[in-house]
Amino acid sequence: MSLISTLIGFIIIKLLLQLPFYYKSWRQSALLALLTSLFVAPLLTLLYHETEVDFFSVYVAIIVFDAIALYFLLQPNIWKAAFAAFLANTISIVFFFIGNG
Amino acid sequence: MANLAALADAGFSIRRRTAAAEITFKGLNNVPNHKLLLVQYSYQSGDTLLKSPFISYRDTLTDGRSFVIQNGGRRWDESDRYLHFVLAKNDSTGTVTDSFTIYMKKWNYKMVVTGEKNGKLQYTLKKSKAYFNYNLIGDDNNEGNNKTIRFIFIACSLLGFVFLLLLFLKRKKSTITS
Repeated sequence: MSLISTLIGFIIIKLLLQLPFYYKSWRQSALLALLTSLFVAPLLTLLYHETEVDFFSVYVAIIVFDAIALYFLLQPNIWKAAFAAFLANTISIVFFFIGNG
Repeated sequence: MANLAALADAGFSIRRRTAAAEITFKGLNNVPNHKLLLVQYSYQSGDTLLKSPFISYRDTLTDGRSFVIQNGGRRWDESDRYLHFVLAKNDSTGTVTDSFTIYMKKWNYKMVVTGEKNGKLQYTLKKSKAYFNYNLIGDDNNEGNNKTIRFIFIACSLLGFVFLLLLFLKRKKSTITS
């Protein structure tokens, strides 16, 4: 899957799935969706094709990373951040595997 | 949790392609009394020429021949490729005088054969890193320098990380007042 397709997919998925949790600050949520996707999507592609790293660990790591980002940069509510990160990244990684499988 | 990990592993290991590697042979005309054969193309190094039940190649190589190998596999371990070569006399019996193995993963090779001495092949092996053919825009667009495109992937990721870091450093810190 190309970089543009991966990025657009990640951004849309994160944007839509974070929206119900952070609808009051949707602009900041959209910015975070954009930046975390820009960081994670190319990195995942590189790790997938160039390393033998276990992708279950990567999946857990990106959820933790996203939850931390949402907690510190959007709203200091850890449960909301964890659940939003879990949901968005689960769908994102399924999209990633469908695209690269 | 273990079941979840097993499920995830089953799904996450599918078709994890790696960089294709290319090998080129030059100077085979320098061994006129011998022929170089690619006799096996295996996943694991433990497979030997004699006992392996799945010899998939037995191909006499010609000068200037090149082929691409390791172009993906369903799993990472299937992308490991060991090429087993033998040097055989160019007579009716075809006695094997030398054998060697090359590990192809992640590397492009250029084998330059300079001659033969006491039945052993004299050659130099130049290797260069093989890059995965990442795509920027179209899924079927494999044009462009793979090294540059890989750099763009790394740059994008770093850019995202740096912006997140800047946001983190410039975030509004709540102060506790008593």
